[in-house]
Parts: sequence; C-alpha cells; structure tokens
Amino acid sequence: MSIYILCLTTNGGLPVFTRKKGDCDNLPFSTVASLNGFHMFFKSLGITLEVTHSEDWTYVWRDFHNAVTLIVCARSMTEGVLQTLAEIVFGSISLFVNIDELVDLTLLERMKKEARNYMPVVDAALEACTTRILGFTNCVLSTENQQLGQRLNDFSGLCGSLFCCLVVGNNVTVGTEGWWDLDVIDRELLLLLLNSSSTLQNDIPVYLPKKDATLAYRFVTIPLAPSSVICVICGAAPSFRELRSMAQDAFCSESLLQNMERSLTRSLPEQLEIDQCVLAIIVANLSIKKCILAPNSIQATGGKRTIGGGILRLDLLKKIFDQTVQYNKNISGVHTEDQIRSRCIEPVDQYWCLDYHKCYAHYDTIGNTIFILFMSSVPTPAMRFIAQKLLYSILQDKTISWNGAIKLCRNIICKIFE
Amino acid sequence: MRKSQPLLPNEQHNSARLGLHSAEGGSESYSSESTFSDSYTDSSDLANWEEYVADDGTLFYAEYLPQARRPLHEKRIEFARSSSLRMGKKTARRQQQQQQQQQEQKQTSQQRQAQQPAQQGKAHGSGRQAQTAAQAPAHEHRFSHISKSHETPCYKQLELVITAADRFRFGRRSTAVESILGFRVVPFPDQPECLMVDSFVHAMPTMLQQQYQQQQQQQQQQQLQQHQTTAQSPSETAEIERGDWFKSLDDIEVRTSNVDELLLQFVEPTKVCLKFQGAARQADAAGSAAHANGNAGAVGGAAELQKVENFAMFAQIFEKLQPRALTATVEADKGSTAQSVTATTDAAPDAALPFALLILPPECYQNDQYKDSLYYYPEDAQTNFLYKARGSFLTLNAVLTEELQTKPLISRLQVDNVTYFVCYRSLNGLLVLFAYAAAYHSQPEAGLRADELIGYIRFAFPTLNLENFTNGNATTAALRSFLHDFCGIQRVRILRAHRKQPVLFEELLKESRHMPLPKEAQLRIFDALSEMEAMDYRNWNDEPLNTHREFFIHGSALYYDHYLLASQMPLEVRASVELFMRCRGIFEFISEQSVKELYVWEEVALPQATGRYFLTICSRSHLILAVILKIFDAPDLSPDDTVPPSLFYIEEIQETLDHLIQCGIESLAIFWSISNKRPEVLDKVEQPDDASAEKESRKIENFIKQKFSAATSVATGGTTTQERAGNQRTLGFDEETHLCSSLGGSSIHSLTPSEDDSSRKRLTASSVINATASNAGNNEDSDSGGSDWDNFGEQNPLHYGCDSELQSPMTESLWKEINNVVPVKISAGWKNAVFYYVYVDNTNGSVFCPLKANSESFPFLAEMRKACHTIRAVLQNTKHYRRLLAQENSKPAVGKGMLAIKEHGMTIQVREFTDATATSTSDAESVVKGRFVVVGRLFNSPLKEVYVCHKPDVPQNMVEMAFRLSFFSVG
Repeated sequence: MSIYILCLTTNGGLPVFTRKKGDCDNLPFSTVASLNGFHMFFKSLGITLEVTHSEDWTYVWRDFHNAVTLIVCARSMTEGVLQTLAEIVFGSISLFVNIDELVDLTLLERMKKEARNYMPVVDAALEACTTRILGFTNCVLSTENQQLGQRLNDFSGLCGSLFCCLVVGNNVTVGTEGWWDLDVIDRELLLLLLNSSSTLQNDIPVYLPKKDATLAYRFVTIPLAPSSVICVICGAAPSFRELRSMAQDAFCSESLLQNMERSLTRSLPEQLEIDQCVLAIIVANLSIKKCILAPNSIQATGGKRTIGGGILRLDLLKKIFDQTVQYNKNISGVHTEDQIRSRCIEPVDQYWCLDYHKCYAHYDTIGNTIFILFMSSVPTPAMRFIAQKLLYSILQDKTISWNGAIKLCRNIICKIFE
Repeated sequence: MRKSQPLLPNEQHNSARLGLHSAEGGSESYSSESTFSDSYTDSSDLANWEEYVADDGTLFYAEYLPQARRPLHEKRIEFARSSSLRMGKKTARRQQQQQQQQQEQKQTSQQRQAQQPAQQGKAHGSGRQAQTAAQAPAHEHRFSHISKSHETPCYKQLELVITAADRFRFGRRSTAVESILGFRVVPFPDQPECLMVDSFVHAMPTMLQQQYQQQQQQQQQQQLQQHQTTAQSPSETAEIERGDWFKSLDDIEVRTSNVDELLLQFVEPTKVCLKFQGAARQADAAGSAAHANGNAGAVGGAAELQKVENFAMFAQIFEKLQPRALTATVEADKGSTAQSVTATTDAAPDAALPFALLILPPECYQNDQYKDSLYYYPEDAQTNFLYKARGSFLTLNAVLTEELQTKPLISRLQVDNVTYFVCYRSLNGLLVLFAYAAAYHSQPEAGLRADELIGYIRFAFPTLNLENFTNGNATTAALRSFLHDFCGIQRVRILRAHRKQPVLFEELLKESRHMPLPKEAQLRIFDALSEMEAMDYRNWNDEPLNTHREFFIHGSALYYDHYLLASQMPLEVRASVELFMRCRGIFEFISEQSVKELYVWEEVALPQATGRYFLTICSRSHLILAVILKIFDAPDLSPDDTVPPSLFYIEEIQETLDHLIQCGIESLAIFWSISNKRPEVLDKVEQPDDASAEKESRKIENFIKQKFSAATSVATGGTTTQERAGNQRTLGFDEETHLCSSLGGSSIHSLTPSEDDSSRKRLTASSVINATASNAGNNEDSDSGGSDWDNFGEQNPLHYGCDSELQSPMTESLWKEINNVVPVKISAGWKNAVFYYVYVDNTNGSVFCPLKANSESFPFLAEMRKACHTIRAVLQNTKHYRRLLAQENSKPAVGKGMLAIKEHGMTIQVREFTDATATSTSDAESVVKGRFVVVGRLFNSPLKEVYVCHKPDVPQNMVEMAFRLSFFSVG
C-alpha cells in the first residue's frame, strides 16, 4: 500500500505540504504541479475532475471551500477510503484554522504556522489507514459497557457537556448520545488528535469542521487509568481542574475500568463465545459509522507466528470490508424506474471464497452488519448461521449495550422522517 | 441444393462458359436452359447490390421491410443491365435473375409463358419457384396478392384464448391449427413458408364476424374476440376470410415450419393475438394484372422494400431504424432536464451527450500544427467538453503514464453538474477518449463499452496514425465521415440500450452470446459451413487453365440475431468480427427490422496473418453468416488493387444461408429463443411474504421437501442432504402427481387464485418440463400434454397433408432427430430455483445466458445486473492478481492489497418506495419487493466465470449444483 497526500492552495497552486506512506518515492515537484495543473485547467472550463482510476492506483482531487486542494493518490485502496482520508486531512487543518480564515489571503502563512498542530493528526490519519477502518469510529465492547455508560451520562450531566466519551486505547467504549450525534469525521478527528498528542491529559481549543467550523470548543481529555481516557467537548466553563475531579468522582471504582481494559485485546467481551473457525470479526453500524475490529484471540493463542497471522487476517478482512462498503455504495443507489416507483436495493448477506479463507457478511435491517473471516474448511451454509448467531448475541447483550446505538439510530431515522 | 452444381454436365458447362466468353451483352442463350434454378427460393429475392460497391471495393447494402410505418414509395428499380459485371465465371443465379428481368422487359408474356415449362421441368422437385405460381389456376389465392404496402394495409387482428388441450378435439388427424385455432390453413402456393387461411371449422366465419354479440357461445372454451384495429384500412371487411395471410401470433412470425410447435406451447388457456393480412381490395385489379405477367405481383409486393446503399446512409437512418431509440431520445431529454438545466438549454438534441469521442495525437499539446488533426464527436467544439479540455486530458494521460508509471483507465468528472465517465485508451500512440454520461452507464459498463469500441477501431484501422488525419486528401475526409457515422451509431446504440432497460450484463461482455442449439442442429450447421468452406471453386475462375481459387475461406460464423450459433473461425478473429457487427449496429438492425438481405464486404487486416482478407457478411431475415475470405496471392495482383465483392462467393454464402433456413435452422433458433427451456429459468418472482407463509405450511405438510433451514448446523448438514436425496427418490411418484397440478417453481400445492392465468400457464408448463427432466431416468411419459417435446416427433410441421412435398426432407429429419432432446435444468432437485444465469467461457469467448430475458419475466434484472457487475469487479481483481502472481513468481499477496476471491455471492433485497420523493432510507413506506441471490464464481482451468441468480430460500448445495451449468456446453 502506498499513499500520497498533496495539499495545495486552490488559487495559487502553492504546495502546503505533501505526505506519503508506504513503499514509494517522493514525488518530484513537477509532477505535483501537473497533477494540480490539469485539475485547475479543467476547472477553468467548468469541468470538475473528481477521480481517476488507473490499473492499480486511484487519484482523488478534492477542493475544500475553494481554498485548499487536496490530491490523494493511493495504490490498492478504494476510492471511498481516499475520499474519507481527504476529508479527514482537511478536517485536521480546520481543527485549528477557522473557516473564515480559510478564504483569507494570508491562508498559506496561517496554515504553515499551524502545521505543527495538525501535521501529527495528518500522520495519525495516514497511520490509521492501515490499522483501523477509516470513516468508522472504532470501538471496544465489554460487559462493563452498560455501567460505564451510566456513569458517563452522570458525568455528562455533571459537567454540562453533551459530548463525552470514554476512550480505551484509541477505541471508544462508551459515548453519550451527543457524542454519537457528532459527524464521524469530527469523531475521528478528535480521536486522532488524542492519539497523536504526547500526553493523555489535554486541553486543546479546536473547531469542529462538520459541526460548526467557526465556533471554538475545548477538547479536554482526562486520564483515568493507564489506557483509559475520558474526552469532553465543552465551552469555556468548567475549568480543567473541575472536570478532572468530576471525572475521578464518577469513575472512582477502578475495577470497572480494569475489567474493561482486559477486553481490549480482542475488542470483544471475554465472555462472548466465538466459534473456533472464526478468524476475525468486524461488527459495524453503517448508519452511525461505528465498528469493532476484532481478531479471534482464541485462535491466536497458538504462538507468536499466529499473532502475526492474526494481524494479516484482520487486514484481509478489513480490505474486504472497505471494498464491500465501496461496492455496495454503487449498488444501492436508488434506482428510479418511473415517476411513482423507485427502488432501492440492499444486500442482505454476502460471502466470499478466497484461496485459504472464507468470508461472510450479514446485514440486518437497521444498519448493523457483521463481517467474519473463516477458515476455508467451514461449509458455506454454516457461515451464515455462525454470523447471525454472533451478531445477535452481541446486539442483544444488554451489558454490551451496542443496542444503545441502535436506539439512537432509530431516533435519528425518526428525526429525518419527521 | 448446391451439391448438385459441380455435377453439371460437362458439355453444358463448357458451352455456358463459351457462351459467356463470346457474348458480351448477355447470356440469354444459355441461361434460359440453366439448371441452377432449383436452389433459389424465388428470383425476386436477389438484391442488386453490385452497383453499390464503393470505389474502394467495400460494400454495405441492405434491403429491409420497415417496421415503423412510413409512407415511403421507393420503387424498386428494374435494372436493364448488361452483363458487363464479373459474370464470366459461373452461370450464377444472378445472371438468371437479370435474365428474367430482361425478359420481363423485353419479351412478351406469351414468350415468357412458353419459356416457363422448360424451367419448370428442370426445377422440378424443389417446388419453391415463384414460377410455379404462374401456372397455377388464375383464381387461386396467392401470396403475391397480399397487400404488403403500407399505405393500404389490410391488417386484421383477432384475439382469442387458445389451449393446446384442444389439440385432438377434432380427432387425431386434424392439424394443430385446425383444432386449436378453429380454421384450416394451407401454405401459399407461391410462398410455401407463409400460411393462408383456407377454411373454417363449423360456421366459423359468421362466428368470427359476430364476435361481439356471440361471445357467450364459444365452443369449447374458445373465446374469440375480434378487433378491427386498422382504422386506416380501406376495406370495411374485418372478418378473416379465405386467402388471408396468417401472419403472426403474439408478434411471433408464423410460418409453415413453426406453427405447430408454436401452438402446442400454449398448454394452459392463454389469450393470444393473431394477425392476418388480407388481399387488398383495391389491388384486385392490379392483382389480376399480375396474374397475366407472372411474378410481377411479387415485384410489386417488394416495392415497399427499403434499401440501404452504403454505410453512411445506414448511419443516417440508423436512428429511425430503432423505433425504441426514438422515444428514448425524447425521454432522455426529459430526464436530463432535472440534472442539467444549463445543458438542456442548448439547442442540441443530445444535450445530455450520451456519448463523446476524441482522438488525440500525442503531440497535440506541444505542437500547434496538429490542432486540427484530431477527430472529435459530437463535432461541435462548444458542447464537446472532451475537445474543449483536450489539453488537460493529454497532460493527465502523459503525467500518469510517464511520471507515475500507471496507465489511467477511467476518470469521473462533472460537467455542468452532469457526471461523466471518461475512458482512456491508446491506439498506435494516439490517445482515444470515450465519454459516457453516468445517467446511461455505470462505471464498469462504461469501461466495457470503451473496450468494445477501441477493439473495433483497432480491428478496422490497424494502422491508424497521425498521417491518416493530416493528409488532407480524400482518405482523410472518408475517415472522418466514417468516424462520424460510426459515432452516430454508437450514440443511438446507447440511447437504445438505455431505453431498453436494463442493459443486460452479458450484452456488454466482450464474449459473444451463444445459443446452444441441439447437437443435431449444430452438426447440420457445421456440415453446411464446412461444405461451403471446402467447396472447390476453381471452376469459377476466368481462365480454366489457371486453376486456383479466387478466395480461400478462412473461417465462418453463423449468428441468429445477436446469438452465435456456430463458429468455424479462430477465436480472436471471431471476436473481431463480432465487434464489427456490434459496433456497426448490424445486430441492432437485424433484430429490430425485418431485414430481407444484407451484404457487407470489407477488407480487414487480421493480426499475425499475411495476405489480404475480406470480411463478408450476408444476412437473410435473422440469420447472419460472417465469412472471412482470403484472396489468392496471384502474382499479378498488386497489393493496392481494390478487390470488389466477389459475386460468386457472396452467392455461395447466400445459398448456404438459404440452405440453413430451408433445413429449419432459423425456425429452430426462433423457437429456441422464445422458449424458455434451454436451460430454463424461473419467470416469476413471488412476493417474499407469500413465500414465507407458504414455507410455513409446506414445512408442516412435508418437512423433508426442499427445506434446508438456516439453522441446520454444520454437523448435520451433510447427512440431511443425503437423507433428503433418498427421500426424494422414494417420493418420486408422489411428486409427480403433485407436479401435474403445481404452480411451477414457486409453490407446490397452493393454487393461489390471485395469480393471473397467463403466468400460471407458463409456470405449469415449466414445472412439467422439470418433471420430465428429473424423471428422465424412469422414462415415464408425462401425459399432461405440457411438454411440447413429448409429441414433437409426431407433430412436426409436416401436418399439412398434401403440402408435405413442399417441405424439404431435411427439415423433417431434423425435427425428428431433435425430438428426443430433453430440456436441461440447471438447478438440483426437482424444482427449479434459478432466475438467471450467465456463463462466461473465457477460453472459448462465449457466453451462455437465458435467451428469453425480459423485465416482465424477472423484474429485478436491473438490480441483478448491478450485482453481477460488482461480483465481476471482484473476480476481475482476482484475475489480475493471478496474472501478476504468474508473472512475478514472487508473492505480492496482501502486501499489494490484492484479494484472491474466487467466489462471491450476495443476497439482495429490493425495496420499492411508493413515492419517489421519499427516497430517504426510512423504511416506513418501502415494501420489500423481492429477494434473490447472485453468486459468481471464477474457475481457473479452463478460465471461466459463472454467475447464477437464484431464489434465496434454496440451500447452498443447490447453488453448488447450479454450477452444473458449467458442465454442459454444447447441445
């Protein structure tokens, strides 16, 4: 996998920064200039160049607010991921630069000045391309989720902020309703910001590009346990000191968090029984964009070699997931047959047979989906059975409280509908 | 047939040749005594294409009967040609025809009459001569009297409910038409393939006339309705009468050879629409006049023939030739107004710009002198965004290719808020861009279309380069005008395909669609083709001593509409030929219009081949025969000589076609293409809730049957299957009795009253076919009368007692030989569960798919197509990956992010919104319309892809069995 991110000013075509990841050479300046050049020239003719596919590379051009142009090129990645990456990269800039300033002529200087703030976020995003599912908030599920959720809500009421979440090792365990109401880009940006900062204890003024790009918030993170952090988005009040004491009050019993951290290795509760033939699991909610990415730890106990194998398998599954999300987007475009009737098509389940693995995906009616990577010896009908059973055992376990999200999802749908 | 030709008496042959050598002006003396007449259906069939041969030796000529009614009076010109053409080689039927025409003009009818017996005597046996008609009694009804002109149509239409159950209601000796339709038919004496209404059973005419009053008095479930549909008809008589031409049944052309099996398909009472055409009242005088001078009537009948004289003309009228495309244009404009308000303000009719093309020389952006050297379509610099932005495209291509070492394939871009896909293809260093509007094509489809076009351009202009455009001479102009016509055709093709929702998945693949006829029929085709190819043509040379052939036949391929029937061409050549016919719109033309004849002659360059090759395409009605001829390398032939079409080879091809039609290949193909049997697919999708309700009851009733619940665990899976198989065997008898009354593939016992008659009829038919297929082993005759295969042998088209001599014995034996063909069902179990299948054989370049696929039979074709494209994209990746793997011998594996997926399946649910405005994802208003599973699998050796779309509730092992599809390929 190789990725280039080129950031230029839209008007002048001046390069702001370039970043690359993977095994690829630096792009010469002339190439960068021409990549931007024909995009610019197309625009002068009223043509917007969106994406170009070549044999294995994909090139995406994005203009943001007619101020910043991002060119993202990558090999063996889907267009959808690149589009998300572009949004996140631009979002990381606008975390620190007010949208009003973007149209300013002094943008370039401003952006250069803020670079030390947002570059770590960009790098973290690049890193996340390979290890996480971009465009989805990665979560951890444990049986303590319900209790933690209650405490988080208490804390949220106490501090007067709707947007709180508990992060364990870069993954969200529980969040308030307001947190899940935030756009996935904003959520991802905040997590990446936390991820890229050197300490777990932060109090950073940020703009939320999707929520309100002109209003500055405080992003406060308070460490509770070695890898547990509570994140709060709030205004000027309350002070950091107050917030910290509130958080420590709310999550005083350490055992909850310790239990929680134990399920970190596989992102799923230890108690959950998983069939031997399952190699890796992705559970995701496509409407509120959250997911868990879990290797089957029972499988991985064989020795060190299988741990590496586990990562590879997770990678494989992630690739299938990315690809499928992309393709399904193409499939499920609403197809209008005539004036009164229109159809939408959606997959119910899917399976793939690879040389050494099989993969199965099941979708339910409210946007939940499970992707499971199996050993190739498993019979195809059994895959459906295992997948459905696993998905429903996760969905129906109250202590895991994935359902909270579903409730929320219903609320959102109702809101849209009203 | 042709077999007799080489066996000519020598002296006659010599004299013929001598006569030709001596007589410049004509060959009257010998051709009147020629013996070649026996192979011609009738002389008026022969088109006079010679004068349309272009200067460069190419030919594109067609004659067709327009389907859309247009008051065009194009008189067929009588040619009083001198025989200065290449007629010195063979006493061809062309000359004879000319001869006859000349005779018609020159000679008196008495002379002609005197001449007739001589020909008649020699032509004895075939009995298909128009000339025979001349001797028939004058009062007889003739096909030539049927008014075929469009200004005075005598169409009659009759709707009635028929059923094959009536087959023997008048006893076993009655014909099918008689007992099922209630009137008797005989073939026209002068056109034995066409049927004439002869007499009526009972007092049928009165009944037909007073249809409206007497609807209750139908005899034996016959509901006869008569509609006078032709308001323009000058005759007030609407009733069917003796002498009318029984033209079509439900728009299927009725012929002597196909009427019986057609009728027997209607197992259950079905409402059909019969169309008749009567003799024109006003034309009576003309008709009697026609009696006087032989086949002048036939010539008059052909007066409405439309002609296409060259490709440019074809391209011009191509849009008119596609009646469906015309309406599409209007609708497309309507549709695009929403998306592109700015675009539609342009006066251009194709504001949405469904298709655009641009050919760019690589130097264009550096060098101003080549600015004019490129070609662009549409040829309007203002609307063509490709042309406007040519520099950018060129730079993009150059930068990506040279600096980033990746070839761009496709770009998505927005022009005035309309999304387009632009495909990049290279051609001898030139950059060719194709743009497709996203409203018409999705991204994978655009890619496939572009591949198709570039493939054709490469085939047609293998040496296309900058000079071709920059010469500034006549060839440049010709090239440009050709490209213009070519692009115009592409535009119409896209509009047509768009109108004909959905574009079939398999239509776009580069592999050709294959119609697997029964083995016996295939053998016959191969025989005919081989005979044509192996023919010793040396007798036809100018000089008898120089005994080389003029051409060698390199290969030939037979098509029915767009289905490949048989091919004796190298694979890549056939692919090119197929591209030729696709891109030139020939397939569309043939299938849309009733094309009488079509001749194409063009020099083509075959890759890795020396010598000069010529592509010849001949078509008669729906059969197309494409032949590649290789010219003999005569030393005196300079490489730049233009080689005009060879009369004799074209006639030979035409004769082969005639032969194939005569021995029933075409009617078999028609029959095959409308019957859903080969292998059959389900043609009804039940509502999912009904199905599940039924499922429940079924489960209680008989839990063994077909139910493989999702909850079945792995461990028991295998045993259950075996158990089930065993049970099924024991239940064999039970099932059979059920099946006779069953509703096809959807449900077993229920006779849901809500289902409409027609679908029930069809389904029962198909289920019975299933029964025969699955019970083929115990050889039990299902006597429900459902399968038309059961009685195939005894009810062949030769039921027209006295006329059986008219039928060629070949047809008869063919029908006999294929009557034991058992339809193949492709899913396992006794119940069919397959909606659709596409079988792509990459090694043979062919595609099998249901021949009769329309949106009525399977309403989710559009959705299935999308799923197929998705699966194909996944499988293509795998292919690409495997290729890389084979090349590099390393393991790029996951490092390069490749997934080697060899099978991909998905269950898809279609929801329908009642209101188009509320298309948000809220499921409150949506109704689940149906579910289906699409599975695609890639086979490695030999390389092939199989896509199967089946019912969702069948278990996985059924799907496994569906891949049985990959095990049969022929017959």
